[in-house]
Amino acid sequence: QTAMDMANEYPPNSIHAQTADHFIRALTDVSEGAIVVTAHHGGALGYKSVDHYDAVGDGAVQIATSFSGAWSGINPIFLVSSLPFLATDLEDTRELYEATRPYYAAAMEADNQVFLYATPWPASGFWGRKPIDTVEALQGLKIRSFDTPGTTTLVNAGAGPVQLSWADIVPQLTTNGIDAVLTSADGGASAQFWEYLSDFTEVNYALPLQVTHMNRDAFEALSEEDRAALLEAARQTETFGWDLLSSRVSENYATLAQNGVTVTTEVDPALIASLQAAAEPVVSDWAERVGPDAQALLSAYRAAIAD
Amino acid sequence: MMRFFLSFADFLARVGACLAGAVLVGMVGLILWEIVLRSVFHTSTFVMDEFVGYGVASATFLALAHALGQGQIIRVGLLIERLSPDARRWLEGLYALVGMLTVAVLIHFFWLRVARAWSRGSVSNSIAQVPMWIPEAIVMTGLGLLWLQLLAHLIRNSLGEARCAPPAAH
Amino acid sequence: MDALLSAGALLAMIFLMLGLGVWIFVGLIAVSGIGLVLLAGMDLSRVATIATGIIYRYSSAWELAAIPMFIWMGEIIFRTDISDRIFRGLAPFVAHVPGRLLHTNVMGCTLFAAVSGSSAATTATVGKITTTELASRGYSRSLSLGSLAGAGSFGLLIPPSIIMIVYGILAEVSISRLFAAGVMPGLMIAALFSAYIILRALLDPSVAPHGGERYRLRDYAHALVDLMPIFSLMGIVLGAIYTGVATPSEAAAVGVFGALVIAGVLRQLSIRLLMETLLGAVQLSAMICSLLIAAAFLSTAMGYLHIPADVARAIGALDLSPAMLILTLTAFYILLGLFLDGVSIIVMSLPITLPLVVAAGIDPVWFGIFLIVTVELGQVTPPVGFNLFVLQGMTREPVGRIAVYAFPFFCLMLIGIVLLAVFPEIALWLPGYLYG
Ligand code: NA
Ligand code: NA
Repeated sequence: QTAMDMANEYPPNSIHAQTADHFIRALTDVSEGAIVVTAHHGGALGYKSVDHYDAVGDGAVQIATSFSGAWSGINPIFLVSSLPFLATDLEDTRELYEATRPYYAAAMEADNQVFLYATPWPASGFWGRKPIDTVEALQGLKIRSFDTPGTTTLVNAGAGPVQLSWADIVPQLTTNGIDAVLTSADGGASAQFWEYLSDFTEVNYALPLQVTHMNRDAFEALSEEDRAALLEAARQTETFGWDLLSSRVSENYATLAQNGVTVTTEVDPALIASLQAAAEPVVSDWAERVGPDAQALLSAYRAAIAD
Repeated sequence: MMRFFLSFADFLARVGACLAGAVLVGMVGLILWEIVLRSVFHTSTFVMDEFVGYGVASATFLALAHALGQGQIIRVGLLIERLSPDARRWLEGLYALVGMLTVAVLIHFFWLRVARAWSRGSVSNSIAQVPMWIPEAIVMTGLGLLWLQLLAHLIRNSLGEARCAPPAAH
Repeated sequence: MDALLSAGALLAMIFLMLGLGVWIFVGLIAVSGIGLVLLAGMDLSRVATIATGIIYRYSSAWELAAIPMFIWMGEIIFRTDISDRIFRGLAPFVAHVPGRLLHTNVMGCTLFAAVSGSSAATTATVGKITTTELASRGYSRSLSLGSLAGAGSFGLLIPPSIIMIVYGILAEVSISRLFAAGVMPGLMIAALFSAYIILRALLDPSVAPHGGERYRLRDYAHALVDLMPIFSLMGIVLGAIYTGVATPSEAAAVGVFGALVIAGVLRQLSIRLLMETLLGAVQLSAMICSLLIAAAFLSTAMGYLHIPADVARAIGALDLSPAMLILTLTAFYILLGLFLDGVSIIVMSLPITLPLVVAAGIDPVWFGIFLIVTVELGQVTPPVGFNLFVLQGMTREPVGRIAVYAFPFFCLMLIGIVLLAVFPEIALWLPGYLYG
């Protein structure tokens, strides 16, 4: 029997913790109990997603599930799924993922790890005190953004993004220090945003990828059957995670409605156009940082969604 | 020679503490600047939590050697206070060696991190794209100062002039 | 029961290592590393990789940043005459309360807890201001340090509080409700502490210096003037937080700014003051932060050994009644508190204990407050008790003696937990009143 640990930054009820738990169960089933993985949700091992890359590569922890956008400083390729308005629905995100996967796997292989599977985050939108569904509503809006692409896009679109630690969001919402938060319906629901904010506007900003990865030495130390079991469990979990997203989003919207949050899904096309325009320099900057791979990846993706 | 080393180690520790003080001033200044930007100019530095994070790591490790020199790195010390002076000196020497060994292992593994961040060109994922070897190297430097100060402590102890913890500040 | 054996072995090693007198920073890192090698069978290079990763991650955590800044603020108050004015100003008002200025620690921590979200920052800042002043005025050392060690943990219970945010996110409980729920239990425990000081002072008047000065109206007016600087400072910081100008994490920088402005108004600001306060602050905060960083590695080691999770799971398997569950969990959390800090305890055990508690029909908001008081106990228990460490760093009294001083306050907090369990409304009334 092989025992392994799995690190996860996010809380036990989050979508990626549930997916990880599914992976662990599937692995126990498929390997008939030969591989036992213990999940450490909520950052219980002390790592953040950004640390998982080297922690897994070095074998400090054998498996981790990580927000891949956190690794953009290590290798800018990992930013692709966080780029705003590149893929705005589940089908496009899936195509983007298919186009991306070889690059992720190659980068990780070079850093002594195995790419197991990836599942998307629910799409980010605007939590606010009113629907943020027009270009005007966004002007000067004090909004918390969570990463560099988001900050740059929002600045370009005329909003006033602020960077705050997650812990400061609630105090800033209660004192009106900020007006809005860029996050998913899911993220807002987990922090009970309805106590401070009345509206969620769906703009399908991005559906970033959460990657589950494994130390290569630990992988290669397994017997052939166990390796096959691991890859099979990863395959099953990937399907589970992508299916979970759709059901999770409808559950989230129901929870929001129950708590009196108005969900606006019909937004002014001019707003989306303006946000897309604002995001363009972010995408081209990224492509420049990555080099030729970025062009190849983007053309493959664009060809796939054109079909 | 020994004297020179001892005062040199103390001098370096003090330089570290002064740098840590400067870092602390910088942290306070950056946060105040962020508050002004946010509430007056409706914008942000976008890097405050990141830089304050580097600040607290740098300030802690740069000041650690000086804190040890001042007897401020603390111990529970139930046994050591009950021993004869000779036994105590032996044990103190042993602890300094344990400390040096532990810190040396940390320095070595920090060096691996710094070297990798350098060769890979890792940067932070903020707008500032700070090369990651810089903050890690500062922590490593602080650990290096601590190692020197532990060596100085070992030498003083074997010369029989270990500074006992000075009385509480003021 | 492997987990219990590992826990016992780890605890024994910590007692041995720290008891022998190794520096705590080195001792905790060494014990954690040895624990991973011996108990988890890892090789040294993996252990060292884990250690450096965690040390770097935790040392650059935004959550630590308030500590050096608040300590700097405390240093400025301490090295100007603001601290002396506080005590002169308070003296007439507490002249007829048994124990007199001994209550400053409890009051000071209660007030300061409203701006600080961590207990190390609360203990260090208030202690920086009070310990020397109380000692020089001849107040009982044991009551002064004991009450400070106990009251320092109000930083976690009275909002804002980092640990409540951690709990709220993990348990998906409203953070506003948690903040509201902590207020009355915090005040209740403060009242218990004050009542105990009064009782001790009545039984043994020598704990406070001989009083008996008579104060006239003019003295009260003078006293208010003396209290002006500290009240303005509190006003500036509280105002900045509650108007939304600054976040709770930024409050410490506002505090430093306010203290410098007030020192300037009092004409005591100088380059020399700046240098002295800065050096004092970086030393004390390096000491405290290095211990927190070393303890983070210990938590990680406990996580890799699956200790908290396995023991929590064993408790779940016992299938206890709600009352027995709470009793068992209290014992469990006190045990974990011997060597872990509050946030780590919550992060590692909650995924297992929360479902048990919810299944037993216990309100998760109440449980959050219960949990926070329970893990606060760990701040004053050796071998790893941060309030004890902070006080040792400041006063050079041995940790063991400070722990003895703090013991009555540990018991008072236990009484607080019992009251909280018998009368859950102490926690739940205010959030119910505010948010329905
Ligand atoms: Na507080
Ligand atoms: Na403790």
